Amino acid sequence: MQDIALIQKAKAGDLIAFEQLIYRYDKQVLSLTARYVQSAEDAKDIYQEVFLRVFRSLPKFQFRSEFSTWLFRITTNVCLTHRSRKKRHPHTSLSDESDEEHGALSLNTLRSDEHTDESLERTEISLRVREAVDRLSAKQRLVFMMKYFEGYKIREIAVMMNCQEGTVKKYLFTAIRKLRNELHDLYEHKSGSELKEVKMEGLV
Amino acid sequence: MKHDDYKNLLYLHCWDEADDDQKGILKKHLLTCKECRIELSEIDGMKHILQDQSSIEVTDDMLAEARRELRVALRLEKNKRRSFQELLEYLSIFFERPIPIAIGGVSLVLTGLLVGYFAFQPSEPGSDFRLTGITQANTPESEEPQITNFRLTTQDQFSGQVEIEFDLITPVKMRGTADDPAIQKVLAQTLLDEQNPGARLRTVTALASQMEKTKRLDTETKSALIFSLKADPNDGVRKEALRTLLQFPMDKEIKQALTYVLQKDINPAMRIEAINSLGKLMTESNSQDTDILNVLKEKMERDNNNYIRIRASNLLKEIQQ
Repeated sequence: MQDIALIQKAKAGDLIAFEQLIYRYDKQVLSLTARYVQSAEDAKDIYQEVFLRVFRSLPKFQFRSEFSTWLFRITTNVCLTHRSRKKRHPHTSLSDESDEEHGALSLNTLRSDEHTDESLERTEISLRVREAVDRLSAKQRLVFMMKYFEGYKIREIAVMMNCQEGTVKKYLFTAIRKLRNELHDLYEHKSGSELKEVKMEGLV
Repeated sequence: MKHDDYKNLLYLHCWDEADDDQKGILKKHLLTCKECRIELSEIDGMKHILQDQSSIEVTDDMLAEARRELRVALRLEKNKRRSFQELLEYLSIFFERPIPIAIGGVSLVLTGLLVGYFAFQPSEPGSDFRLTGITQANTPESEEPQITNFRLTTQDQFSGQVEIEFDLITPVKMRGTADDPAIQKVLAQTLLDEQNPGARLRTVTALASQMEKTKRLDTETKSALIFSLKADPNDGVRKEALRTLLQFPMDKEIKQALTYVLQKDINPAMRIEAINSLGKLMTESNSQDTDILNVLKEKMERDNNNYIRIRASNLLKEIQQ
């Protein structure tokens, strides 16, 4: 059944049609949100908020755009306005404590491992990358995630975010510059002199 | 062209967004600009660092859990009633307006009279309210209707006329045989709409017991049972739906539902029930259903339950022999 038919049924209050419709796109939505917030729980929160908004607004959907475009526009809006559970509950929860404890144990285990140095280096790099990405603004982070990890084209991101391509480029370029500066020592350290060689493959 | 513009071209090129003309311009620039050459290789290095980073993978389990939580939230949303707060808000607006309190009082008295008229007038059982789609062969035995969700929508301050809205809930008792289509229709709808898991469980049990007697499964009930089996957030309801469906010959839809359960249900008991039923079907009918075989292969490798992994492995061996 086409999206349009399902939308019409869902507009008339058919919950099963609504679920059939959203199950065509919800994995993409969850994937994008998981990339963005880097937390399964927060990703599920956003996922639910997105589809509740879709459910509430569907009666007003006028078919002026593709359903998927409209859906991802809502997704990006919810992502940008989302406050993570950690920010909402800044106190340390029991699970946080246990996570930290678990993390400490993992580190201890790593230390006793024969590959300690390599594992620790990987953990440290991951932390640095995570922190650098977290320091980007919400829009820069979202654009960067959509471009780099999800592989969307700039024009697609512009449609989803309801803004000009130039604006998307601005966010993307700023994000790249910031990440490049923040992670400079990591890839210099990793690649060493290889970086000095210029790679021009792909250029005509 | 400013130097920053070349850098922007560089970024576009690194993220596969530059066209051939832009690539040509960039190539010429890179031949003469050391700073951009270094930047190009640094971005390359950064991309390698980022590629190595693990990210949260959206697993089938995570998606199934998100869907389950969403389903509950959607039901709550659908059934959300306008609260008493709305009436209070409306009344507060009503009293804030610069109108004579007396007219307001008269309007309220009239409203009360109207409500009283509708709420307490004697009604003939079943004469005013009918469930759509239920055959009249099965006359519902109605009790007194109850008013809920009362809303004062408009009121004319001068004429004193008011317009009100409310939901009239009529308790309905139906009597009939177990295979009565009207009763089956109501039960199937309850399975889809009822928020209370206990009520849904009782509904599936009722459907199961009647089907044991009649040995007949109509399309609507089957769809409702399959929907519950796949998406009901309550383990008990899903289990009962599965048990009921397994009493009937395994058609394509039931087979697909079982495959879905084996693949996605988070409860291992459900998956075990599904794999046993599918296994029985495959061995008895000597079937080589590709979808089931693929799921069995996946389960053999990845299921976190030992029994399911071993059972899937054995089944695949049996089928291949």
